[in-house]
Amino acid sequence: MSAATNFNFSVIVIPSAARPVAANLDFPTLNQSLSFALEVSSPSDFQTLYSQDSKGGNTFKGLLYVPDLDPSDPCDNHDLVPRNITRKANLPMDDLKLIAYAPLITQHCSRQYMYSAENDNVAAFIFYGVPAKYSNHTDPLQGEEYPFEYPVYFLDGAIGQPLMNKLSEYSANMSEVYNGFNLTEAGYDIRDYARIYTVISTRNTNPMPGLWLFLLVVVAVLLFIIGASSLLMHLFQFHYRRSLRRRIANGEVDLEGLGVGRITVPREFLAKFPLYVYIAENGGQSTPPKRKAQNSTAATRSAPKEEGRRKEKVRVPSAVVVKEGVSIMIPATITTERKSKGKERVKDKSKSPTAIDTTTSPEMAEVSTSKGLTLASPTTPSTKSRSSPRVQSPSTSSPQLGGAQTPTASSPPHHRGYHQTSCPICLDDFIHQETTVRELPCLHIFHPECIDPYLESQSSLCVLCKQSCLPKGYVPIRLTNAIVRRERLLRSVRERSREVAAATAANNGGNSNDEGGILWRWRLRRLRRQELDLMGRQALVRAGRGNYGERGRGGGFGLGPQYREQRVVEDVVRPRWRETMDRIFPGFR
Amino acid sequence: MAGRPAALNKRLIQELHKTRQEDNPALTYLAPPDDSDLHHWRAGLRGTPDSPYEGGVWDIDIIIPDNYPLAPPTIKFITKICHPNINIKTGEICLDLLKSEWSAAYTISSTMTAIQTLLTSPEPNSPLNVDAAALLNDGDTMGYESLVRYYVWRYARKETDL
Ligand SMILES: [Zn+2]
Ligand SMILES: [Zn+2]
Repeated sequence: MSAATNFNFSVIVIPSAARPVAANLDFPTLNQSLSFALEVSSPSDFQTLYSQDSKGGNTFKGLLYVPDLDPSDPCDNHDLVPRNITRKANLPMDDLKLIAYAPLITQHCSRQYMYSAENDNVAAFIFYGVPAKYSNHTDPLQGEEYPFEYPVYFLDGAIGQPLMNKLSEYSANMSEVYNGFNLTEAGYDIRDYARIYTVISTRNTNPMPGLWLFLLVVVAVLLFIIGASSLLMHLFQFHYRRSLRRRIANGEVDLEGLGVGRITVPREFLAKFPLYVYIAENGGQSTPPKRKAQNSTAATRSAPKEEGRRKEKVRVPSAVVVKEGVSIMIPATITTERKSKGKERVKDKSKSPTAIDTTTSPEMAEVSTSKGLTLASPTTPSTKSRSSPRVQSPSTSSPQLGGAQTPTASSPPHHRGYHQTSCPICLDDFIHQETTVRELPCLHIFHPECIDPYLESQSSLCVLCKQSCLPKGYVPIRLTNAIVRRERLLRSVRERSREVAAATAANNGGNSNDEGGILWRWRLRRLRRQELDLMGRQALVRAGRGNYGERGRGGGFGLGPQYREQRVVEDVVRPRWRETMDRIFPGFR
Repeated sequence: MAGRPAALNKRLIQELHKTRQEDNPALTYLAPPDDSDLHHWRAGLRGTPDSPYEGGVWDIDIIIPDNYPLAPPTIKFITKICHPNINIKTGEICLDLLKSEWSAAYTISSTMTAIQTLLTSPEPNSPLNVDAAALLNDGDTMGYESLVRYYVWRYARKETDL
């Protein structure tokens, strides 16, 4: 219900000739110094008795008049309602907007007035209080179903009675109204009508607006906070994604460990891995190794045969056959001669976590540093010769140590491989000058028919050393927020566990001499993963996610499978609201 | 793809050849029970020395999948064994090497060595044998070891009998 806030009464002049549009009472106000105007805005002077208007903010406008009653009706008390009061008949036109005005005498009289006003199609009704002797002071609406649409207001009698008298002064023509003489003197047309025009302003009494406004402000503030934190999180996430992308590009991220599912090597990368014709070090003969220092920096292809056991691979862009007469740069391999030294070196090798050597014979074992570089023993005579040591590190960018002995950096890339004599997948021996082999970035060689399907369908990691075959800078996955989060968690856990794992590995990895160290490397990885697993579990338990450890039977060790499971859950089971939440707050978990 | 089964058999023949050449100290024997079916092998696994498993020998069943060595073999204990990561009823083994960590470079023989490694370094956080894992998790090494020894005594073949 909307309550009145303001009553404004003024006198307007309606030209007799005018034919105004009913809705528009846009007539000039009578000169105020010669007429009257009344503004009632003090809440104690009026009250709203009834209003159907729920919105408020409306104004009701119209010419003030007293509705007609049956002449015999005692309600038309002439002590209260002057005989010359403005009646409907005194108004210039029928279709003007009206506001009814009447004294509040009895319930019966109020109803008489209101029914009459209803017939006149009024915009509002104003009752005013009368002295006690005329009224029983009943609410005209009390105990009644009020059938009217117009609002009803009540004016205090102290204002209402004088207003009633004023209303009687503006019922006749211009010369007879209050100050009529002066008005006609002032030039007002005597035929024009001067009538009291009323404007009632209302507002919504509902206490809700304030509350609504408050809620609106709260919602706006919340939205702002949400928006700001979302923006902030997106910014951070963007930053994390970019740094993860950079780290992946730099090859610093263990993609398989992220559990993003199976990562394979696209065919176009696979095609770039070099194919060689395998050339055994001993020229295909199964003669016992005869190690010799080699001084030449360049030799013809026939040289290896003469010089005993040596292995090399000849780069063939894609063809399989080496053309006759092509001379090939052959760097001298570091050779060692004594078995006793070999044994010593085996011991050294086992200490180095990254040493990779697939040779099985002790003679072929080489001293390797923790950097994974093969070094010649200083006492070996061969080192005096201008030989270039073979780089044993999988990294192609590793510097060639022993450069002092290498007069020219002429060592071609196809001499840095391992002593692999057989394919680790089919276990077949490579045949000298016959077998085509595929060299992976880690320099391990395989039959292309063995390694290609594996890399294309199973994994992007080298079968032997588990090093990624994907080129640096290649990001094979879509970096979702979930992956970024997982990587961050993994990294923080890994950092904490690195030292522990390294220490444990050093204690446990000392006595391995299994084939090629591959089993031993698995043990190392497993140890590290167990450590990670434990720490990750603790971290997640601390973060309030105790179900981290719940895994299916036979789920396997390590973070891998279990994170893979988690990924499946995220991709498939996640409800839409979480998806949305994740989009808004990418940092939450 | 047509050449795959032939390649597989060649690899298995190679492995068979190799196992006949050099003994794996972890095993008492390793061979297909039927030479015509190279997809099914059997092995006798020795208990690691200086462990509660010492002296025991367990028969192990090895099923080779068609896409071996790209996919790992399925390996089960036939002889009952008490170990946190081995199902006491089915003999199923929970080992990453046989799942996500599998590499084509592993041979059946080296996989067996890995399983021997598992005997002495159990992972009680992903148990298939809850009782044994619980003992380990509670730090009751004595209880765990005597439980293991009981099963060795009760079920495993004895190295001395061979
Ligand atoms: Zn091959
Ligand atoms: Zn490799």
